[in-house]
Amino acid sequence: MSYVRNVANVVATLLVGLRVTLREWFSRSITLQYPEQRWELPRGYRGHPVLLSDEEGKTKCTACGLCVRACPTDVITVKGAKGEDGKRVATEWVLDMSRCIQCNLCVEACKFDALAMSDRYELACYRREDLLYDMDTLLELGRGDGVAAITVGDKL
Amino acid sequence: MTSAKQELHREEMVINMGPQHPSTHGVLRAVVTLEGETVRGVDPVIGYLHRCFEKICEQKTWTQVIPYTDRTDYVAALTNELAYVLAVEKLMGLEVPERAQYIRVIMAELQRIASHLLWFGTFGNDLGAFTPFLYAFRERETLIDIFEKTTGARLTYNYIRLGGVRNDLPADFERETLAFLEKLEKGLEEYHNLLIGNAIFEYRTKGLGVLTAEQAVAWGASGPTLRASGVAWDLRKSEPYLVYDRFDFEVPVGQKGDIYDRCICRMKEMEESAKIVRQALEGLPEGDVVGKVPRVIKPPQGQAYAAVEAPRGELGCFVVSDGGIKPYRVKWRSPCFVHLQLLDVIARGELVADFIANIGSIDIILGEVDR
Repeated sequence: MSYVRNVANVVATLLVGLRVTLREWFSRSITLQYPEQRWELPRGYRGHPVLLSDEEGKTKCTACGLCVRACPTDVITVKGAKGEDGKRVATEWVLDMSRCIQCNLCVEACKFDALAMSDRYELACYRREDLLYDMDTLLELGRGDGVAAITVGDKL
Repeated sequence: MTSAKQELHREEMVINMGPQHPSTHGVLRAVVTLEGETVRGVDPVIGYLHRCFEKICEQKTWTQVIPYTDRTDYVAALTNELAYVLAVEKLMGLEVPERAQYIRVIMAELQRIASHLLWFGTFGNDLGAFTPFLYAFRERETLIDIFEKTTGARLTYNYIRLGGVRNDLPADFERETLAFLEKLEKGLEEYHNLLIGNAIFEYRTKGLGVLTAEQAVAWGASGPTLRASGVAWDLRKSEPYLVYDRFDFEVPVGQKGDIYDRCICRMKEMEESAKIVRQALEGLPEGDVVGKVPRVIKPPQGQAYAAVEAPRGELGCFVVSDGGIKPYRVKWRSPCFVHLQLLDVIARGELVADFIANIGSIDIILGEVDR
């Protein structure tokens, strides 16, 4: 009898000792198998600024330079020219991602809804020059999902 | 035999600790004078993380400074923004809507919890207990997710703005925050079982690194470091800013001023912060989150000082304006810089093994010391 009790005791103490382990074993795993699995980013996640385009796929940027002045780290270069319809449009819009601090101030400064923050976070690249994002790249990124322009006083 | 003992060669030894010691919370080099294993003097060498913060501010517009303040004390970024923004608002006489003030209080208190959780984890790590680190970061991760949803970033938020906050709280903020606070309560109980109540922990912290009330006041200590010595000085109570006078909370005070008291103070502060967040969420008024702010920020000539109770102590910001679009001068009064000088006071005469516990107990962030 005492032998059986001993065995039962061993099993019981083993279970007590492994309580936390067993609980975690059967609970839902929270590990994400990155990069196969991705986490969901909240709306308004600040990746880096991208350019938004109008219905025709052209940039809304008028090269007014407000974002350039708002940028704390001077990473934006904009050049503009008069378009065919006489309005000013941006011909060059370069973002130096090596120095961008993703602060959202350029998006807030823009008066033409031409800028938004993307939810890109994989920004590593092999060459430093690849961190200079030109206008076409930024426009293309601006057409993707997860782009949001949150300015001061907005509701999320 | 006795004469031979007397003739033993005695000499003080100067050793370098850091700048890349795994438990110095940043890049700190401490020149420690040792006699055997006893610390006879500490000389902290700072400047490894110096980024000319104050000088950079003079070349940025008033708004552009805010993201830079995030990068001084990077584990409590929201309180840094708050100190700067409050100083500029004082200078300009800006009205802040009530809802924005409540949101600021909520975010500042959540930030305090996040900062103390990080401190708890790393402090356990300093003492050789690795498990609490993982537990504390589990809770902190939930909080960081809440911050990410609200502000769009995980560490450098750029959320508190002149005249209010950047955006309103997300729809499920209240539910998630309350769920977190419940989780935190359970977590705190677990932390006490895991670390604080541990005999080894008590042995390594009780009666060590004693800072008397007189010393603490004389050296200009603030925050939990000061309160652990028995001085009930909390800016949220003694010089209320924002809407702190509307909330009911205690200021935890220690008695002996040793490492253990500092720990207990911080643990209790988390509970009090949770209390404040609950009350603020209950009384959160409707309305705008940004007041009337001029398009171009040009504070009138003059100067202003605003101080907030940051997780580490009194964080002050002194701004001088010459009436232009850029600050003439921004001075940062960082609690960590003051507390770092206390190292010599509290660690002198103790064993070198307890030196790490002493560094951990004053909770310094070198990014803020050097800035």
